[in-house]
Amino acid sequence: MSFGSPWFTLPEFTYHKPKTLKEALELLDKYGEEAKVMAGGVGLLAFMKERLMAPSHVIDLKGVPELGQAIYKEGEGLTIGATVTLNELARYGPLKKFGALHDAVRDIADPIIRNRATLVGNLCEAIPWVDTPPALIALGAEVEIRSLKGERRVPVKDFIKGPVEIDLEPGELVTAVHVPEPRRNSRSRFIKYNTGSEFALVSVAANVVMDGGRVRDVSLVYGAVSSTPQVAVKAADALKSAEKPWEVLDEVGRIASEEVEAVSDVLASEEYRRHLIRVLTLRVLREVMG
Amino acid sequence: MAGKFVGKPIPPQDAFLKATGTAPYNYDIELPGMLYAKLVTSTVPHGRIKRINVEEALKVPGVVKVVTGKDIPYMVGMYAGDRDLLAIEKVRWVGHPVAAVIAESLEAAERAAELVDVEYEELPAVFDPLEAMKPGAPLIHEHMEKYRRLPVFKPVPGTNIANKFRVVRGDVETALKEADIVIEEEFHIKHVSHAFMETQNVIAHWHLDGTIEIWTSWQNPNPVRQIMAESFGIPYNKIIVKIPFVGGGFGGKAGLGWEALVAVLSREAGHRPVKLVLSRKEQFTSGACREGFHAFVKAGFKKDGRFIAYDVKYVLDAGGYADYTVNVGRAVAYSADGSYEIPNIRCEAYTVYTNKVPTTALRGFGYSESHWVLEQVIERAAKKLGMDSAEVRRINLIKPGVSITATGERLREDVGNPRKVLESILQEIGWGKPSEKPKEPWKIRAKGVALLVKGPAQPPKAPSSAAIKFNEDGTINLLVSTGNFGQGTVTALAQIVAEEFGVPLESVRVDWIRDTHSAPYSWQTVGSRGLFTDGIAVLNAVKDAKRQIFKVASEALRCPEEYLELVNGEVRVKGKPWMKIPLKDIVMGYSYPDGTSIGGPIIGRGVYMSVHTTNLDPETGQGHPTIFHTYGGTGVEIELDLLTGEIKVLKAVQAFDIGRVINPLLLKQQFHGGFIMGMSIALFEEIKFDERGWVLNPNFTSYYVARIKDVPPVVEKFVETPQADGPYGARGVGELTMIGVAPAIANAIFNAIGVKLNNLPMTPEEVWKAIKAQRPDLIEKAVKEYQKKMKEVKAVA
Amino acid sequence: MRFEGSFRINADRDKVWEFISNPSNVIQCVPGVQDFSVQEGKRIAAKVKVKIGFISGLFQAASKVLEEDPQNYHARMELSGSGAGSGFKALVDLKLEEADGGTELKWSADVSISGPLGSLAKSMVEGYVKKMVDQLFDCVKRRLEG
Repeated sequence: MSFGSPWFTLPEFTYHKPKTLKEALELLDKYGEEAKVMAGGVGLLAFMKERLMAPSHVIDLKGVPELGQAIYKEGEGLTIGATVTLNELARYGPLKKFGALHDAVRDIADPIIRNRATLVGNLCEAIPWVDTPPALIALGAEVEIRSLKGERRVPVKDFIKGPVEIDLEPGELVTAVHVPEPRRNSRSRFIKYNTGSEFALVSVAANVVMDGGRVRDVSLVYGAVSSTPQVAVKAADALKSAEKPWEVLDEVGRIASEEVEAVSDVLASEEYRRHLIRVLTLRVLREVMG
Repeated sequence: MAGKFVGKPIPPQDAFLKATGTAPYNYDIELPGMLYAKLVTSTVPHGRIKRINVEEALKVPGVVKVVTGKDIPYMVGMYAGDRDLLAIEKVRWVGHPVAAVIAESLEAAERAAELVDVEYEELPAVFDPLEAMKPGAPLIHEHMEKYRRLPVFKPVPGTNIANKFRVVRGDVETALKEADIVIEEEFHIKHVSHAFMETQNVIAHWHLDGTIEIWTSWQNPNPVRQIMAESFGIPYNKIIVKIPFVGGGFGGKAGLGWEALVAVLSREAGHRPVKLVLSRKEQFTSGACREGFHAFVKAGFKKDGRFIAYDVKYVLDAGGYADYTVNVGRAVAYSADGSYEIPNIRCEAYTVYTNKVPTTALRGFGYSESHWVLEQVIERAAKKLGMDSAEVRRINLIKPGVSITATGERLREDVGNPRKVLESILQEIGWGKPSEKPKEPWKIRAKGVALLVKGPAQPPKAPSSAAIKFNEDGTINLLVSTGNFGQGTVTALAQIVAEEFGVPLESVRVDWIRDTHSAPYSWQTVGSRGLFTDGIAVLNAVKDAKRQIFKVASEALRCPEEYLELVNGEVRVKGKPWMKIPLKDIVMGYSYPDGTSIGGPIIGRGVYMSVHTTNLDPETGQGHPTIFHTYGGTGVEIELDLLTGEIKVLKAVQAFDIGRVINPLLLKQQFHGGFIMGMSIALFEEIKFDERGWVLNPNFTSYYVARIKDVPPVVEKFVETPQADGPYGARGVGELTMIGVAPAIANAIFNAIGVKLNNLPMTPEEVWKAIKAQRPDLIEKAVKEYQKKMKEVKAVA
Repeated sequence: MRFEGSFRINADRDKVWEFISNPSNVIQCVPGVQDFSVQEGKRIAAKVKVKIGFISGLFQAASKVLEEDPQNYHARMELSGSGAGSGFKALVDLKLEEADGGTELKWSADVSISGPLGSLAKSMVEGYVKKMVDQLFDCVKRRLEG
């Protein structure tokens, strides 16, 4: 998200381009809060240009080869490195198994931005309007975090703590996102409503496990409605408990539209957002249950 | 007269350089020794400047100087004269330039600008023009009576009203009483941006000898020179304004921009050239946009459909300065009657200062606003009368040669054929035939039409001129100062010259730089006037050059002038085509075999002077405001998604009586471009302000402009009713192509479901809110339809 | 955005009033203050570093007393400032009440934030204001009680 900048130039900083992960972690450890990492730079440089951030050190990760890989292992899932761009990911065949993420990645911004922007960057920006977090949460993805002290994994849902706030300490680096193998009979999709807007006014990711005519499990995650992605638990329960799920879709949409936190901002009012939640729930369920 | 070039689809002459990315725009230009300027802008909407601390800024290496308003206390402007170069004593909006840093590099200028510390004493601010008009509102310009303005504008000192203008004809009060039905409504339009690709940018060099050299991304060099010369008291010929390729104007580069400021900065910086480039955010917050607009109308109709009374009050939210917007306030009033003859009309327009970003002309200014209102009034009246709206339009359409406009102008016989325009739109859009039913039952399809008329909004005296200069090989330099910022006018002018001399089109060149020193004068390039005014000037220059050429040829061929003709670049004796002289042997003077010569270098000159335009009566607005009227209209077929409120235009028809098509390719491009801009403003665009007057979306991620995916097929209908005094009978059309789009869309929705959309833009949220307020049943029905359809899909699967 | 709250300070009302009516006492308790000056009429100009999530920026801020009523231990102030392309303005109302041996400080503030920080979600700014106020009054408490 760009807020618009009066500035053409960036604040002063020292640029580092480590060649190994170890080197990157050492730099991060050394400079702590004064350092920011850069992958595609789409978010970071915009923030710097707008003077919302002024790190003294920028650590460019694009020289670290092991961060640039997307690897799918049958039965384990998909691991996406920190510098994998959205277009590289979109072209990676196995992504199709992860329907919601596939949808989200292919439709972010425009091809030029997708050539530079990375999935991990999109996630770490933690701006309410970005597309990939709802899809990642619906798919149960985890963030892989490393520092000189070791490694930890955090579910994406917990990683995003607030707008522009993530669970990452100084010295830590998000090295990858891990998306687990989809469950049997599951299907996931992501859709967004962005008519007349560069960013989604509302987005939704749904991940459904069908069992005959019933819904055994479902995850409904809404993006762009509030400061963090919203998981609709009651709506999901209503769908799971329905004997004829096709009969209750609007009811599910209504529950979701009342249950989640929604705000007014420059893109849409709370009232309209809640209405769109209802409508998009119908649309996404039609896609995943059909 | 069918021509070899006139009437042919010839690509614009500058297309190749633009397509290859090599065209030199102002943004690309750098002068030796050039410095960079950066603005420091106000962070409060209304306040007194208590202190500006520049100490820290001056310490940044590379900084040459920091200039503030009290160093350069000039007031400038085109019409209202209410603009300071940098805020003097007080700031009037968030974004008002307060200081300018000049430095050796852009980096240094920006670093230093961040360090300029301004202390304000905040004053009560007013953001709503309806509040700002009331007695006792905080005054934004306390001394507007002192401004150097054009005398036709009437500010109301002691208030925030920058201009008040009235058009009165007939007796509206009585007519409203006599009306069988009265439509009473309010309409509102939000601020929009010109969204040109190249933001405003200027290089100025105040030379040591007092010559001021300006390079600017602007529509026409002459008003820049005029306003600077008048404001600074400098002779006109000391100011040279040059304009290279321009990345879009749309009215936002008319009048004066930043040139006067940057010129003074150059002087203050020791007479070195200085460049100022606005970022997109600065363009939104410190540049000027289209005003916010409010209209309150009462319209009376008789049972038979006659429109007999129109009582309108317009209020324009002009922002911190209203320099050009005072003229918008005139145009909106004298265009209130559109394409119709309304015998009783009263129209009051108030241009009002507020503590928001300033405003200026935008493509079709005044007319876009008046037609947004008028064309919907017609539609509403038709429904109330139980009549077909097309029939109501037909009944009230002006009659050429007979009808009198709101300003009391009797329309010429060859003014155009609005009837034919209307019928061609109705036919193409399939008026009266229901739209195909959409496959998705929660959507509806509908058709809507809007007519319009426009002429150039300009003072009564607004001349143009042109010169034709021949080169040694017989090629031609066509000299004009009308701007070339995407319209293609200069290509059309070159076609005219090539046609008239019978030379290849490549032989006629219009330079890509417009300048005030060597190009003949034209008042401005605005109001869709360029082809009309400069076209006439060019034809007169052709006539003048031909006269000189025939005189020489007559002597050389020993034949009276009346027996000579100009064919394929040669002067021939009629009937004896072997007796001829190529142009190149005449245009530098003709030489006899023995070396003696006659004639000399040929320069043709021609002028255009406005015919019959007058000042308007200060009390009643009566008079002749424009040099031509172009009639036209837009028809659309739209699809509305009742679930989201989203409007999609499926098909559009654009019909205009342009008198005579000079270049059908460029004309189609105007029809398409205007439609896209009109649709974007109709459906998406809005500058949003927060409660402190800050722009919330000063960027193209949250200020959305239509993308190619949003654009439907556009059908072009050319109606040609030549106007006797137009070049080849042509009239202007550039701006008009966007004016009808918004009302046509709103009319389509009203026709289909009776939901009134009185506010622009018609974003999905706004449309959804309107449906929810007026027809909530439609939304619930749509949800049910959606569920039903899903179950059907499931059943099939 | 409106905020309000109250704090208990274990010190007598006159002592608290005396402390908070001295601008340089209060400003030193504002988190993130890098530099400040006290001017005539109890005006303060300060540079304050604001950090919300990973966004941070330096604000030029100013405060002035709009109304001071020592009899009723009541004051109104206006805070304003700009930085990071954003601006803010806050009208703050303070009142001291006696509460069994100590003092109850009641406050409310109407805050408006413009620019990028304003267009980010309200909850984020709310969280920040709450945290900032907590820190400020904790500091006041410490200084008075300690």
